[in-house]
Amino acid sequence: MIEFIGVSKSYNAGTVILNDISLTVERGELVILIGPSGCGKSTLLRLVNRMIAPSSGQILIGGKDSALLDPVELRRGIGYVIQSIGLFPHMTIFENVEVVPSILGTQKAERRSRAESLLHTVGLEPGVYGSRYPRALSGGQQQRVGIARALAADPDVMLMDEPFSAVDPITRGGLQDEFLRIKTEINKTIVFVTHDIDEAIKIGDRVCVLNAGAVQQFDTPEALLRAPANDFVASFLGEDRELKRLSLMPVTALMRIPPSNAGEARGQVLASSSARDALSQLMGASGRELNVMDVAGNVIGLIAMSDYGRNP
Amino acid sequence: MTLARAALLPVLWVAAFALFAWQDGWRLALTALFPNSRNPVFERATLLELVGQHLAIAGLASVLVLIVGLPLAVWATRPSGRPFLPLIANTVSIGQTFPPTAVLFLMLPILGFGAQAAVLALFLYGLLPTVSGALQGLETVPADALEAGIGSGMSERQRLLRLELPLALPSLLAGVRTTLILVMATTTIAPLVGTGGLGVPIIGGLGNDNLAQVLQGALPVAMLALLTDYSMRTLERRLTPWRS
Repeated sequence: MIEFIGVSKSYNAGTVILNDISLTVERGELVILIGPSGCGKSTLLRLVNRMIAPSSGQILIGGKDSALLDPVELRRGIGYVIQSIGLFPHMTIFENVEVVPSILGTQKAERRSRAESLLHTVGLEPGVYGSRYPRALSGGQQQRVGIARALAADPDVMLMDEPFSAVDPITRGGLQDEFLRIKTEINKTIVFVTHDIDEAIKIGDRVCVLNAGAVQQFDTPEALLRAPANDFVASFLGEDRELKRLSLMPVTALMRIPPSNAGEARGQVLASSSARDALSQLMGASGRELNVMDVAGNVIGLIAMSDYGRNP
Repeated sequence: MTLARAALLPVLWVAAFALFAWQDGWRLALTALFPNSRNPVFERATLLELVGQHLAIAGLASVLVLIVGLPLAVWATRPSGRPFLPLIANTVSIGQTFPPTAVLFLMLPILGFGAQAAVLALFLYGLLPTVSGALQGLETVPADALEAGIGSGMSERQRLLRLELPLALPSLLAGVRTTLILVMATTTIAPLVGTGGLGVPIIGGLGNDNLAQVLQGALPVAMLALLTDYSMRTLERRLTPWRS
């Protein structure tokens, strides 16, 4: 658990970066910090591992005041992933992943087996990539290594500063999907900075929208999209926020259950699809009804354009 | 390829020393090349002895450069030494702008005739490439790697030993290589203050218009410099496998 209590940061010239921020990140939760450039989101993140010191206020990590901890020790217990990745170019992939365990004095064999299992977790074959140097890997592969490195000492807390924004959109989508899968496996408290609202909605448990050094709204993606707290949040979410909300909703939440005329020839949509994808298919099917299918191929419901009117 | 390179290196050094030791061979070759010369070969010391003296002076000056230069560069890039960075960079530059011959004679009243004056002059002359190479290497360590190192919980000392020095190696070793070659070649002026080395037949030969003896001194210097260069390049490749 991470608690920010009345945290402010300003520089000598009087520039205020963060103004009296208080928020709590629960244990095992993934909180997104999002906002326009200069809103203070990266600064807020870097206060946690004391890359930056606050001007005032307290940051409690697992109930302990981080200002009282040795910064070097503190950082060894916090995974850190940055946009520029920052793999060590003179170390192999194995050596990169093993950096923190080796600082902590973990035995070589134990380090290596941990590195191998982590590379598996992030989707890289250790036998193929482990002995390579970072320059031989693509940007997306390098960031997978960056995540494995941050996880190597099994920290309770992970800080991720725009980890996927330097890779191309297709790789980014793949990394996000994989990260969602990894997240459920590792069960860490994660603070994640991004400027991409779609990414925030896709992977965040809760999203904190920042502007001009102050919290504008801090809530679940669904609540944020349904009821933006102010004009800034609304415009930041975009005019298509109802569509974004549909992307969070499974099609099964909108379908009608009694398939009275099941089996009649019509288009199909998988039950695992989002309501947004189903809407897209309905538009392509010129407004006809679609059968909602489960994985076994059974029709479990019907969805039509008209079902979207009674949006819960 | 790299294995062949590594095996080639000791062979080349042994071959060079065998050639230096073959006094009769030099006499034959130089007599044939300069039939009119009365003393085509320097006789007061064997070539091998001259090479030994040369390497002792050049080696001592180079070791001093490493002992002083590398810690100086590291200190100048630490928070405590950073205010002195411009001063250090400029001072070592001045050391190299002074002609070593001038330094030699300026040192004479202080250190007197002998190897000390030569070693000191060579040390001052050779300091710049090593210090500036090391400074450049340490100053161009990728910022993202440093950030990740700090964020991973590396102490200042761990960052220096595990990140900064290894990443500075390409530039640092190139600087050391330049120093070694520079010192190896410039040691030929050491006899001006009464020491030995391969400069003895060169300076003596120039004085007596004896080109054979100049050649006898100059050829081994060139060979030593080339071998040093090749050895350092092999070492650089060996120590930085991540670059290729």
